[in-house]
Amino acid sequence: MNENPYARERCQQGWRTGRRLALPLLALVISLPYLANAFDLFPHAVAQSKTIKKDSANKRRPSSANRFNRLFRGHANFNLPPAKDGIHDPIIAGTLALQAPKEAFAELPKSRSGNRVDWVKALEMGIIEPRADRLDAEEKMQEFDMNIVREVKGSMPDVVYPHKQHTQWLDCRNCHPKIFIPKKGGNNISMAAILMGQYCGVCHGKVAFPVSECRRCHSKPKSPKQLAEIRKQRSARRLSTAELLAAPMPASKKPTVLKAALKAVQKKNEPPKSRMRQMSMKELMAKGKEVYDENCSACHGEKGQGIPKAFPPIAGSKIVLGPVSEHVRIVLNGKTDTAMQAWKDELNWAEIAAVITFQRNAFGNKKGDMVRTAQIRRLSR
Amino acid sequence: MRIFRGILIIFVGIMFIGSDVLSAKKRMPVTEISVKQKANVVIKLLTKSVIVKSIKNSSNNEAKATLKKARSLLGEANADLGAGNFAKADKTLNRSINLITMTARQVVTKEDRRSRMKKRYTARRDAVRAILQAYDRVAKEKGLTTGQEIRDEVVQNLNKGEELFRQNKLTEAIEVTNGTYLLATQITRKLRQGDVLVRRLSFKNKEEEYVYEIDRNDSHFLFLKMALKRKAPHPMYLKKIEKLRDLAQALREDAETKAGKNRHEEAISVLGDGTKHLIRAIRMAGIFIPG
Repeated sequence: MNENPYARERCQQGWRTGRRLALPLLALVISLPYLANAFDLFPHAVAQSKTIKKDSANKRRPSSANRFNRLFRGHANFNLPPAKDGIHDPIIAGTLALQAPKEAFAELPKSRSGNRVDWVKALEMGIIEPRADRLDAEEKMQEFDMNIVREVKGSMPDVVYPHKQHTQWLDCRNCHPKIFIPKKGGNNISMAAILMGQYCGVCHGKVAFPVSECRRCHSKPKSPKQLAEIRKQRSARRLSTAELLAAPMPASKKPTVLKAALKAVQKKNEPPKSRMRQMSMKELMAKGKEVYDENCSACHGEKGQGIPKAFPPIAGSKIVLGPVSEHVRIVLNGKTDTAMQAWKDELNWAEIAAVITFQRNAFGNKKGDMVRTAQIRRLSR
Repeated sequence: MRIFRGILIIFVGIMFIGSDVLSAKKRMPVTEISVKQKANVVIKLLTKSVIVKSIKNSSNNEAKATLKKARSLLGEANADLGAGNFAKADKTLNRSINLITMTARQVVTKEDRRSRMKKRYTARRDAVRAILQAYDRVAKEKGLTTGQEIRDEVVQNLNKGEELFRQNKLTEAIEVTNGTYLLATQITRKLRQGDVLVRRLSFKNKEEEYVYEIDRNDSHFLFLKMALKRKAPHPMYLKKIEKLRDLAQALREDAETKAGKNRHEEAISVLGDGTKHLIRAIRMAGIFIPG
C-alpha cells in the first residue's frame, strides 16, 4: 500500500494544532458559567440552578414534627435576609447588596439558639480563624483553662463557667475588672441582673447565645445526696404551708387569687377520708381528664402526642403501658434530669389516681386499670 | 497561532476578573432610586454629621477647604441627578464621601488623641492591678514560695508606667503597661491553670437567704415575660400561664408582707412556692428550665 506522505503530514499538523488550542479552549469552557452569570446569557439555566440550590437548602429544614415543637423557632424566623431583619433599612439599595446570613453561615456547625451557629465549635474545628490582634497577624490568643462552679438553689443544675472557651475569643481585660471583679464573692450575680444586661448579660443575648439556653451554663447536675436534701426540705416546707393556713389572711392586692391559692394548698393537704366513696371508672376518667388538661397537656399534648425530642408522648408510652407502680412512682417523684417534675406536692392522691387511670386508658392506651387512692398512698411512702 | 492562543488566554483572564466586577455591580445597581438615597445620605454627612462639626470647630484650614470641595461635588452630583445622568452622579457622590472620610482623620485633635490614650492607659493599668491582686490572693492560698521576683518586676513596671503617665509620656506609659499586663496575666494563668473553683451557696442568716429568694423570684418573673414575648404561646396555654403568674404574684406579696414582719423563714418558703409556679408557667410557655 502506498502511504500518502502529505496526508500523514496534515494529520500530524492537525494533532499539534489541537494540542496547542486545548488549554485556551478548556479555559473558555470553564469560564462560560461566570460569563453567563455576568451577562445574564442564560437566565433560565441560572434560575434553575438557584431553584436546585433552594431545594437542597429546603431539605435541611426540620421536619414538620419538629416545627410544631414550641421550643424551636421555625426555620423561616431566624437569620433573616438584611432587607427583612428589622434592623436594616429595606428601601436602601445597599441593604440588598449585603450577603444574607443564612448563605454566609451555611457551612458552619449548627447550634439551636441565637444565630444558629456554634461558634465555639467553628473555632475549634479551624473553620474560622479570627485574628488575635488587629495589627499583628502572628499574635495568638492566650487561652486559660479554669472552671468556676456556682451553686444555685433548688434542683436546678449548678452553673459551670469555663474560662477556656471564653479566652479563645476574649482577653482578660475584656471582662476584668469592669464586668467581673476577679475575686471570690466580689460579684453579686443573679439571673435578674443578667437579664438586665449586667455580668454575663453584657454579651449573652446580644453577641453570644441567649440566656434561654439554660443547660449550656447550668450544666452540672445536683448529686443524689443534694437532691435528697432538697426533697427533705420541700416536705418540711409543707409544714410551714400548714402554718401559713393557720395565720390570719394578709391584706393583699389580690385577695381572691391568694384565697384560691390557700384553698388549693388546703385541698392538697387534706388526708383522704376512709369513708370516701370509691369512684367508678367513668368518674375516674372524667376527673383524670380534667387533671390531665390542667396539668399535663402543656407538655404531653392535648392528645397525648407529646413533642418530639422534648416531651415524650403518653400514647403508647412504655411507662404508661408498663407496671402501675413505676408509672405512679414517676408521677409522684418526677424524673431526674428531665422536665418531668414531681407532682406529689401539687396534686392530692385522688387526683393522681384519676390522672394515672386516665393516661392508662386514653389516647389509644387500653390497659383497663383502675388506680385507687389507697395505691397512691401506699406507693408514696 | 501563538498570538491567537495568547489573546484567547488574556481574554478569558479578563473575563474571570471582569465577571466579579460585573456581578458586584449587578448586586448594587445604579438606579435613580439608589442614587437619590445615596445623595440624601451625603447631604446629612456634609451638613449635620459629627465630622462636619469637628471640622468647623478645628483650626485645620486644609480640612475646611476639603469640606468645601466635598460640598461642591455634592452640588455637581445633584445637577447630574437632575439631568438623569445617574452613573456620573453616583461616581461624584462616591468621590465626595471618600474626601470627607479621609479628612475626618486629619481633624482628630491632639486633645481627642490624648483623651483616648489616657483612657487606654487607665483601662490597662486597672486590669493589671486587678490581676495582680488576684495573683497575690491565689499565691497566698496555695502557699507559693517562688515567683516573687517576677511579681516584683510587675509591680516595678506598673510604677514605671504610672510615673511616665504623670510625666505626660502617654505612648511610653501604654507600651510599658502593655508589657506589664502580659507578664501579670502570664504568671496568674500559670498559677490557676486547670483549677476548678467552687462557689458554695451559703447564707449567714435567713434575711440573706430571703434576699437571694427575692432575686430568684424576680429572675423568674423576668424570664416569664421574655418567654411570653419570644414564644407567643397558644391562647389555651396563655390562660393557664396567666393564672400561674397571678398566683405567683399573690404569693410574692404575701412573702414581702411576712418579711416586713421579720418572718423570713416563712417568707422564703412562700417565695419558693411562687417560683415553682413561675417555672411551670415558663415551661408551659415553651422554654425548658432544667431541674
